[in-house]
Amino acid sequence: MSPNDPDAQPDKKKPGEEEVEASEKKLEDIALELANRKLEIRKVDERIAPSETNVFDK
Amino acid sequence: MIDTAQFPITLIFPPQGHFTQPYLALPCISAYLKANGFPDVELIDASIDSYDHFLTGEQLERARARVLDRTPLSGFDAEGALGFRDLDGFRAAAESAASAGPLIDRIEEAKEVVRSKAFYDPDLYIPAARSIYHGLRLFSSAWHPTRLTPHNFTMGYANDRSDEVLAAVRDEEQNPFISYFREELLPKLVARKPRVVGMSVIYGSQLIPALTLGRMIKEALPNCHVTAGGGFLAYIGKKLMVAPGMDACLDSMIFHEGEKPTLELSQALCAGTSLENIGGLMWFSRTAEGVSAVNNGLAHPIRLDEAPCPDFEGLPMEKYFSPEVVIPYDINRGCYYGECSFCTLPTVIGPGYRTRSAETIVDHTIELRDRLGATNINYITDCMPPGMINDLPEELIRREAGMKWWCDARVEPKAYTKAGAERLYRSGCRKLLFGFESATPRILKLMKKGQSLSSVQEVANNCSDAGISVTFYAMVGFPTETREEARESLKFLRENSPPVREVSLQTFHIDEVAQTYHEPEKFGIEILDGEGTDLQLYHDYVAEEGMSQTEAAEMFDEMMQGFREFLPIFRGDTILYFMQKSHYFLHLASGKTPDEFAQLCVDRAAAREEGTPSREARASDGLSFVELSHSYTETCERLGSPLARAVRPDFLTGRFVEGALERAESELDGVAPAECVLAYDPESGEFCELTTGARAFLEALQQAGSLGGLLDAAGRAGADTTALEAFARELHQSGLLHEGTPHTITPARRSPAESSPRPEEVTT
Ligand code: SF4
Repeated sequence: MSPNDPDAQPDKKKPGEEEVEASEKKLEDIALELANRKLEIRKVDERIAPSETNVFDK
Repeated sequence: MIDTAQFPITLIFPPQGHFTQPYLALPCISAYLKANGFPDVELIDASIDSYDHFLTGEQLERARARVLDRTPLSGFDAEGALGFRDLDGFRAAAESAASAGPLIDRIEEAKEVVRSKAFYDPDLYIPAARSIYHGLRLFSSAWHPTRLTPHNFTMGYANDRSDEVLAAVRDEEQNPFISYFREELLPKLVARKPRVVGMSVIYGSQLIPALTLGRMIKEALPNCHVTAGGGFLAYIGKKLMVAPGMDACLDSMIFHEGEKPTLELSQALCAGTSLENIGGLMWFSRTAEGVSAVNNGLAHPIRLDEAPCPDFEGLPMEKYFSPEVVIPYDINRGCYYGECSFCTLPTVIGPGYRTRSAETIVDHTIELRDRLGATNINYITDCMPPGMINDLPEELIRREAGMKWWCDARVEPKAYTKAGAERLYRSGCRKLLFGFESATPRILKLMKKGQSLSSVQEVANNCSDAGISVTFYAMVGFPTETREEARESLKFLRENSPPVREVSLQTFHIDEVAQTYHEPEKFGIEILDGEGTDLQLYHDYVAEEGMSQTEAAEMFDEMMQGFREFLPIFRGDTILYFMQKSHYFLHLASGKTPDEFAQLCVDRAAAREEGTPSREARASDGLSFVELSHSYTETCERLGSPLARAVRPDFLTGRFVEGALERAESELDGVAPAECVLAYDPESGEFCELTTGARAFLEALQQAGSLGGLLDAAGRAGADTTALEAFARELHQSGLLHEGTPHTITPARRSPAESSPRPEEVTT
């Protein structure tokens, strides 16, 4: 087995059942908390400057 | 006497001009020089070269470091309100912090999209175009208060004062072109050692970069004669040449068309003879007594029909930000009508009107098509003369030129008949731009437009029915125009959309050569003179009636808002196609009808405005967040107001309005502290301001992998999902939710020789 052999590399850990459950539980907690938080998004209404409309000459 | 074959000449288009296609003046001069015995002519488009250079990962990385060094976010007082003077810097620092990383990673891909077939897919084009805009914002932040945009270059110096212009030319801290020229352009010039460098300065945005380059060339190559000409210098050149210190940047200046003066200048320098007999030239005479500017007076214009076909050899066609190059070609010079009271065209082009014959135009069109592999052409004309509206399409059809084209036009009902418009379409015409200006007969009369509203409608309808897209130029704030009259124009445009697809709206400016300046009493205005503005071309004025200049700026915003409601291209993010020269045209040239393109815009905007996200919708993995002490949105809104905009040098005039800064400071409220998060989404190329809860939502969505996954988790936890679903809709409307897998394109550059697009692998 050479050091470059992919098999020689440590196994990429696949998440076990427990980990999946823990992460699902974590997501549920976050989602529950989110339902009670202030969720707001604001976007800038970008105005077009005169220079940008004069695209044919400028 | 030196052999003209051994006399290298370099013609340079200095930054900043459009990045979508080459400019015409220098290729015309290059061809003329070559045809008259000077074979060694080099063309450099330093504008596209510098855009391309600044928009690289490496340069944006440098910009990020420079912003952190010069205007870090931590430098703004987190506790107190931000005053007006801080706003621009705060926005620059906030945007850089949020977007620099993703932009550095993606800027090459963005350029690739606009240069390849991917351009035609709005899902790829729009984020790419935004990335280019934001890349330039990041770049500009590094040189704050300097700003390089796709349409302008301004600094914290006024263009109408020679002392400020000369200070800008030497300001290493704020002038990004000093290091660019030193590192990139100058070494090449020093290696080549041209005997003449000629620069084309068409716009005010080129003035400081051109003089910067001129000074550096003169220092590095004392034997090189540096000259400059072009539209902008036709206006202010004489003032510039007598301004103290200008001889450090230039040796001479050329007025009006450049072919003959550049040839005669090169001949004189080659033969070592005097410059005093060269028409169209103003030059510095350097004697023991000192330096003085000598004006030789005007030159005779060339016979246009005998001028050779423009020679684009040497221009970097593969660098322009378009998938297919659109070749500019001038069919005439001057305007056959020449009456409009606001128009200053004769100042730029020179007196008189000359045209090429339809045969010559088509000969050259075919030559350019074959030489450059191009199928698109932008006929440069201030308005197509009536006879030519007939002759040119006939000749194009007869010779089977196979080109698609667009140009400016004047409303000529006798020429743009139904049959005339159909013939234009068959010849390849896909877009015409008419000077509409106003819907008020009183204003049209003052402008001496010589056109009626019914003829405007008739011409627009005939062209549109034939399949040609119609664009109108409109003007707001002409002296004595009232708000009601401007609203009449808006109403007319609304009622005529279609046939009108795009409007290029301008606010009125008074310059020293127009009739409005010389006979102010006829227009009910009083002209104001600036103090110390030795290069002044444009003037403020007080109007006895009608809108003030500030009111006209407000009306500009109102009209643009109106256009967004009824012009499909303007409605949503597809306005980016309008904003890049020739980009909408390229869709038409590729086979889309104006109606199909309008439908595409409407569908796209509706999907965003009204659609709901699917359960598969996801947040981008590349989202980046930065916590701010003050609202980003409020900062941008303050900066977008007409009062704040007046503080920046005007885009056209490069002037600072007197007292504007003080007025903005006293009339605009500061921005109070408020915790918020600025998000940058690299997939859509958009900034959004969020609450910390909204950020947590997006992070949870990233973790869940899909909206459905997140809502299910909330459901399992017993939460009411109504608010979450409503917020997801808002995110969708703001462009922060995505359907499907991320878009990627396989980079495939066009080779310099290949100007037509090659198929790209586009995977979505
Ligand atoms: S028709 Fe156009 S180019 Fe001719 S004078 Fe009027 S505005 Fe100027």
